[in-house]
Amino acid sequence: MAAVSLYKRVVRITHIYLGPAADRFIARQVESHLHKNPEKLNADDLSHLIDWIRVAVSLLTDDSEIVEEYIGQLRRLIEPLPGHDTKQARGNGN
Amino acid sequence: MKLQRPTQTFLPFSILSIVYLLLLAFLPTNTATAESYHLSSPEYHILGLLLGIPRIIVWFAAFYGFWRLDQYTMAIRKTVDGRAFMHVSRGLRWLAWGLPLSGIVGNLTGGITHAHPGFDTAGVLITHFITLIISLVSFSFISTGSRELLDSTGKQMPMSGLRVFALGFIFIGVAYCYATVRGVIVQHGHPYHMPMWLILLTVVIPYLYAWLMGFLAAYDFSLYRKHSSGLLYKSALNKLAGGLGLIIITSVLLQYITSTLTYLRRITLDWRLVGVYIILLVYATGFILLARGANQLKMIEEV
Repeated sequence: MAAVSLYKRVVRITHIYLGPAADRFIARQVESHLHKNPEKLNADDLSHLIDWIRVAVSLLTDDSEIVEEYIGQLRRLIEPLPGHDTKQARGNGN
Repeated sequence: MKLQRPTQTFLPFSILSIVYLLLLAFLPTNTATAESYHLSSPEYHILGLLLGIPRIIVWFAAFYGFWRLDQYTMAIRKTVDGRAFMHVSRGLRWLAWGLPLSGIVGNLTGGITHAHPGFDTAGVLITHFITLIISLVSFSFISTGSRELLDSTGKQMPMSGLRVFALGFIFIGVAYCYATVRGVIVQHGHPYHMPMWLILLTVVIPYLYAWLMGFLAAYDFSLYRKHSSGLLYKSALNKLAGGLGLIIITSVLLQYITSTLTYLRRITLDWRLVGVYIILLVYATGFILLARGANQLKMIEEV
């Protein structure tokens, strides 16, 4: 089974908060702030992307609990899973 | 469908509002109505303006609501949801434009009838068919869009919900048939001046069909909201669905009341005014909720 790209994992988490708008939202953040193709997203970009997502989501809601919960879930993507291949954790980009 | 600039939406609204106010101020007094409520000519015109100004506020809310939804729809036009929302937005546009148009036509035909009493039946029929056509077109568009949205979730209307829906609609339909048929039998000079079969064919059946489309749209949209995911998306969708539900229910209620108007003459003027203001307030609330929901959804597509 092919490994799920980092981009798709970010979208999957975002879907919990933004539903059908998740894919468009993440693609927009990656393209406009990181200036790269969303599918080329890698682990090195993640921290920067999460900062931008925090800014964007804070504009959508005043509920800081929701923002922190969402950001917390995204941050877990940065931490490599025990026994997980570092190259795989870095996504399929570059 | 192109994105409408604010002037493209609000300039026609302003022109229609001014025309409506001028008609209220300058059309001759309807002596029959004035006498039945013991009003002098100036009192009649003041009352007309008092009822007309809140109506214009509701029209503004309606134009603002569909304009906001149009903007959101344009932001997602290339998606599956976008095409469905486009139908909903188109239906709401018809509904919003229909408000001033039916108001102006109603006042104009009323004024002509006052000067030429022979125009009475034609005036009633023109106003009736304009309201009916707007209702049919707008509810059909909204219903198509809502069904497409529900289909996109892969869910269907549950059987239990369908049973309650059918029972509720049968109740409303039978009550409407009863009110219309009783109006024709009991009252001389029923406003439509048509044989019963023609009233059933051109008034009762089309209205019931339009209302069925409207209620189906509200129900489908509420199911779409229920089955949608996304905490923030759903929060915006809740407002949109609530607004749409209020708009459809109030719109049907207004048409129901207007088309069974003969019965309302028994109610005193004070209570009629209270009733009209409450309905208008709920109607405006529906459009404002819709605009807020659409605005939130659009923000999600912009940040």
